[in-house]
Amino acid sequence: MNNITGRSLWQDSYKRLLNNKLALFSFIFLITIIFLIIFAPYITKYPFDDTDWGAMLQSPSFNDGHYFGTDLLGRDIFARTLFGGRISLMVGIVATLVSVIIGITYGSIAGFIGGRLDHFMMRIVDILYALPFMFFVILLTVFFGRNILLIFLAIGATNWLDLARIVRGQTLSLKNKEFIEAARATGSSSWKIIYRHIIPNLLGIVVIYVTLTIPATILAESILSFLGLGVQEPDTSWGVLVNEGAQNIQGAWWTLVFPAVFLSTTLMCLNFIGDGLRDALDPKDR
Amino acid sequence: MALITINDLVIKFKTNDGIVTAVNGFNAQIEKGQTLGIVGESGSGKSQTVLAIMRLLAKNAITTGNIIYNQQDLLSISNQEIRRLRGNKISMIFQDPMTCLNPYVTIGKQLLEVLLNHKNIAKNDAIKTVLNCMDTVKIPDAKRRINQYPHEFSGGMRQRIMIAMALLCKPELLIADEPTTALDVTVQAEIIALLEDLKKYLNMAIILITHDMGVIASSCDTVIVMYGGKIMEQGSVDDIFYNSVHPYTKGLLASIPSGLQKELYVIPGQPPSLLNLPNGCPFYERCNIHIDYCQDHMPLLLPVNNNPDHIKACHVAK
Repeated sequence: MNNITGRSLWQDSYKRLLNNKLALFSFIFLITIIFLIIFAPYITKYPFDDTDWGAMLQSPSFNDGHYFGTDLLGRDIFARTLFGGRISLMVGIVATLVSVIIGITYGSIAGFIGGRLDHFMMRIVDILYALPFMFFVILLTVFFGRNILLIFLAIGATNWLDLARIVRGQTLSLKNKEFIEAARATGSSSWKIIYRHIIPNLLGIVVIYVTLTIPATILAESILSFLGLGVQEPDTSWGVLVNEGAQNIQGAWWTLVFPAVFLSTTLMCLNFIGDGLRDALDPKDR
Repeated sequence: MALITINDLVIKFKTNDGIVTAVNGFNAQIEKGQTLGIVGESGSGKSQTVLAIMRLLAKNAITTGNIIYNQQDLLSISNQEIRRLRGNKISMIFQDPMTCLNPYVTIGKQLLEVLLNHKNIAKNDAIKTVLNCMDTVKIPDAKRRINQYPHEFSGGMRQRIMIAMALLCKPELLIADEPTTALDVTVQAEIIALLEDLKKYLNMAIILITHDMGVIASSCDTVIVMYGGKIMEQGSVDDIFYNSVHPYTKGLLASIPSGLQKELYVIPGQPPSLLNLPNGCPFYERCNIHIDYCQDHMPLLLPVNNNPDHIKACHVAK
């Protein structure tokens, strides 16, 4: 029964995405970076947290294996960049996932049920919006100390607000579509309509939102780390590395340039993929 | 015993401009295996009447009267009970098959959903039932097409899917709200013929709403002519087409293109505003035989020529 299938909207989108050279190239590039990060221990010659007093602020060289040079404490920048990428990407992906799950559930319920519940739920979102992000993070660190989990929580807790609004707006327009009324006419309950009919129609928008949010959360983590509110030594992230590099820029440019290149390339790749997906998933583009 | 009896149905909508009266006293009985046609121009309350049977009216609707099905009033049973009837005992086909199917879900899944909403059966059996039903509505190659998405079907095929969806649970009443309006003429004929066949096969009742007098003539047993939320005339197809007495029905029939007239007949004037319906006959303004008495006195539905099945609401016409 499953051996012959039709071309779905997703398959069409997939094909169009493959035709977008920039997005495809970004995708391959991103995969390469992710592979480097995952297999970091097998690639680097030095552990990321091993200080070497004999090799402080060494410039990049292929001979001794410090491909990107070393930092002020003699740690290998190449290893630190790859390990920093682990934290940065993890924050990006986990925080985005959290915000997507909360955002879709919250937004679709508010939009679909409507009326007073919608008002109530959206006013809560407004109140949370009014809370400044930095203030929220500083408050959390003051109470609970510096902890990587807090970063996930803080970023996830603020990011879902955007998605909840987007999803609610989409749901409002979707729920007046005729196929929703048709679903009602066949005896489907509200919950079934939400997860069978509303959510599949939202996925196009959510996918795009995800590719745009991952860079935003990586940046947010970088800003937090840059300000000293993020990850703790000897753990590191791209944000921390850029911060340290910025302090040593005179005389040791490599401590800034290599992590910064990794960070900005990843962000650019994600943005291009997001752009490509937005074009690919638009049915009018057919 | 009638399958569904509608008594004094009044549907009003609370809007910012005031109370809109969409249906103003609708009475009808639908028997098993009978096709009831409802005609009338846009805004005459046809669609709202059938939406009331499904309890799918907009949230600002106020209904009075009752709709009796199986000794219970559909307007007052709980949400859960009406949901059990929808798609199961009472089904509906909508006007535009292009927009009534979810574009992101395969038609197989959409059909299965209806079946699994109401029947407690294993998925394999359900798939078999769905395939059978797709065969019944003459969708060729059902096994392959069950995994396709709505945009891969033509308009006529999609309307067949909608019909299959409505018939999966073998309903007792099928409501078809302008099922052929969005389709071209040849496909229209096929769909109407299909509905006829299925009606005999399942012995169900059909309420058919349409603007198309041709569709009415070819497939209905009883016809109700509505105007301004009221029934103007009701009778068998022959009564309405050959012995109609009400000036509005006559006007409607005269507006059918026959190929002989040089210029198409048009009923002069505009339908009344539903915001403040007149006390008298809603057709008064446009009627060519009205008398002053009509303006303030709504005529009752009375038999024509002592035939209890042919009734009209008019003071003047005999």
